[in-house]
Amino acid sequence: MAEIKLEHVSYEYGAGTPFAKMALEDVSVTFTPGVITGVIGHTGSGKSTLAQMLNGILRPSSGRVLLDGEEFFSDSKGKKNKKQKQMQIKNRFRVGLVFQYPEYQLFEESVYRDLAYGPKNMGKSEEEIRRLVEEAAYFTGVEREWMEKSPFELSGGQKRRVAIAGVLAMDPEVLVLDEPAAGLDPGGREEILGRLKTYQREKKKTVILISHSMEDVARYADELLVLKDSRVFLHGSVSEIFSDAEKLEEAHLSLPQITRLMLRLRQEGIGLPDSVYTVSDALFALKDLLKGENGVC
Amino acid sequence: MLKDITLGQYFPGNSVLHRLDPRMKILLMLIFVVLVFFANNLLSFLYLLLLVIGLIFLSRISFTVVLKGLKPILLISLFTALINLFWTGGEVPLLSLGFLKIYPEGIWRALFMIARIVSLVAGTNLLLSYTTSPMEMTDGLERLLSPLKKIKIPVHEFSMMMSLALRFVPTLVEETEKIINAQKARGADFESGNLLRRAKALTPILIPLFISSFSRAAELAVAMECRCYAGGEGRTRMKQMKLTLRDLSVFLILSALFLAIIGIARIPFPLSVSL
Ligand SMILES: Nc1ncnc2c1ncn2[C@@H]1O[C@H](COP(=O)(O)OP(=O)(O)OP(=O)(O)O)[C@@H](O)[C@H]1O
Ligand SMILES: [Mg+2]
Repeated sequence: MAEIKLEHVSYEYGAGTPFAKMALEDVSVTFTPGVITGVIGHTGSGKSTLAQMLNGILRPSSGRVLLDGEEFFSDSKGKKNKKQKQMQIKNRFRVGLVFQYPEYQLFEESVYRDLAYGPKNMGKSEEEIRRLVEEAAYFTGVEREWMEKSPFELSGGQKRRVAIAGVLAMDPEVLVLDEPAAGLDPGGREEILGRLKTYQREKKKTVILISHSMEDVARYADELLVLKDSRVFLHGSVSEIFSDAEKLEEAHLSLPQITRLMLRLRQEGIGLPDSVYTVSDALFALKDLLKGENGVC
Repeated sequence: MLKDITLGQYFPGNSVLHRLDPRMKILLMLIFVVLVFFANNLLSFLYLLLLVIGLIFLSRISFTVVLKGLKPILLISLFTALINLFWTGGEVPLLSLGFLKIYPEGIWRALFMIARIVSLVAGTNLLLSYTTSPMEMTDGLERLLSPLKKIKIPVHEFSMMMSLALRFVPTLVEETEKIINAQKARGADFESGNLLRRAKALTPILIPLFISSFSRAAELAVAMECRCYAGGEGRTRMKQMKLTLRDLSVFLILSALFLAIIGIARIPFPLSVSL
C-alpha cells in the first residue's frame, strides 16, 4: 500500500501575472494508506488543485509531494533529464487521477480501445491489457456489450463509468477521484461510489475521494480532510470531524441532512445516538428505538 | 503553458485608454500602423519608441506585461533583423566572413526593423488588445463598418461571428489544457519520440476537442434561438456607444502626436535609411 504525503505544499495559478491566485497554501497532509480519505471543502477551496498535485500534473510552487517517501519531482525546477522524466511518468502510473467531469477524455473508436489506452502507454503486453481492461470494467460496471461500441454513443452516466474505468485499468496504487459522482442522478451516484468502495476494499487501495456532498463522504469515506480557503482546516476520522458541527460551519459546510435530523430529534428528548451519518444507520437506530420503548411516537 | 500567451488579451482597467471609445481606438490603431512605416531615421524611431512608452503610461499596463506580449514575435523580429543585417549593401564593410559582409548600414537597418516590428505589435496591443474588451472591440467595429450595410454587406453577422469566436478562445484554451492533463494522467507522452509519433500522440487531444467544440456550437445556436435571436435587424443594445467631447479630444491629441512622425521623418538626420 502506497503512502502519499504533502509537505508544506503551496500552489499559485498564473504566478507573476495580474491574475495570480493562490489555490493552495502550506498544505501538509499524509493520506493514510489503505483507506478512503474524503476531501471536502467549499467551492474554490482548492480541492481540484490538490488532486492534480498528487500525480504531478501540477507542480507545487513550493513544498514537496512524497510517494512512499520519495519525492515526486526530484529535479531542480524546469530542467529535466531523461531519467528523471521517466521516473516522473512512472510515478504518474502509480497514482491514478480521475478528473472532475472526466468524460471529455474519451477519444478512441471503441470503449475497449479507450480503456486500453492507459495500460498501453505503460507498455503492457496484449494479454495483460486484456486482463486489466476486464478487471476495470468489472469494478466500474462497464458492460460487455459496450466494449465494441463507440464511447460517444453512450449516455452521460455510462461515459462517466468508462472514463473512470480508463484510469482503473492502469491499476494504480493510489486512486484520486475528483467528484466522480458530480452531475449524476441519485441512483447513478450510489452505483458508482458503491462500486468504487468495493474496489477499494477488495484491492486494498489508497483512495482519495473529492466531493461536495457531505452525505457521500459520510457514507463512503473512512477519513476526512476539510479544506478551507486553500488551507487544511481539519483532518481526522469521519466521526471526529462530524462531532464538531460548529467547526464545519466555519468552513461553510454542514453535517449530512440525516445527522442534522437525528440531532434535532435528540434535542426534542428522543433517545437517539448522536453519531448517525448515513440513512441506513439512521434506520437501524430508529428501529432499535422503536423496539426498546414503545409509545414515543 | 498555453495560458502564458498574452497576445490579444484584455487586461481590465480604468485608464484613459480603457475608457476611450472603441471606435476611436480602432481608428487610432489604423493611423498608428500606417505611420510606423513613415519612420526612417534614428530621430523618428526614437520618437516612435517615445510614443509607445507614452501609450504604456496612458494605459497603466505594466511594462513586463507589454514585454511578455512581445515574446511571440521574438523569432520573426530576429529573423528579419538577420536578413537585413546581411543583405544590406554599403560602402565600407565593417566585417566580412567569406561571402557575407556586414556594413554599418546593415546594422542600423536591422535595428530599425526590430524597432518597427516591436512598436507595431506593442502599439496595437496597447491601443486595442490590452485595453479593449472583445465585446467593445466587435461592437466598435460593427458601428464603424455599419455604412457598409447599405451595400448589403452583412456587417452585423460578421461582427457577431467575430465576437463569438473571440469569446470562445479562452474557453478553448482552457479546455485544451484540461484534455491534455487528463490524457497525461493516463500516461500520454507528448514530448518524446520522432515527429510521426508526436503527431500521433495528438489524436487523444484533437478528437475530444473537436467533439466538444461541435457540440458547444450546436448548443449555442439553440440557446440563441431560444432567446429569439434573429440577426441584427431591429436589435438594440444594452450599452449605447456615445462619442463624448473627451473621446474626441483624446483622439485628436493622440492622432496629432502620431502624425508628427511624418514631420520628424523629414528632418535631415545623419543616420537615415530608406526602407
Ligand atoms: N486554471 C486556473 N487558472 C487560474 N486560477 C485557477 C485555475 N484553476 C483554479 N483556479 C483558482 O484556484 C482556486 C481553487 O480552485 P480549485 O479548482 O482547486 O477549487 P475546487 O475546490 O476544486 O472547487 P470546486 O468545488 O468548484 O471544483 C479557485 O479560486 C480558482 O478560481
Ligand atoms: Mg474542483
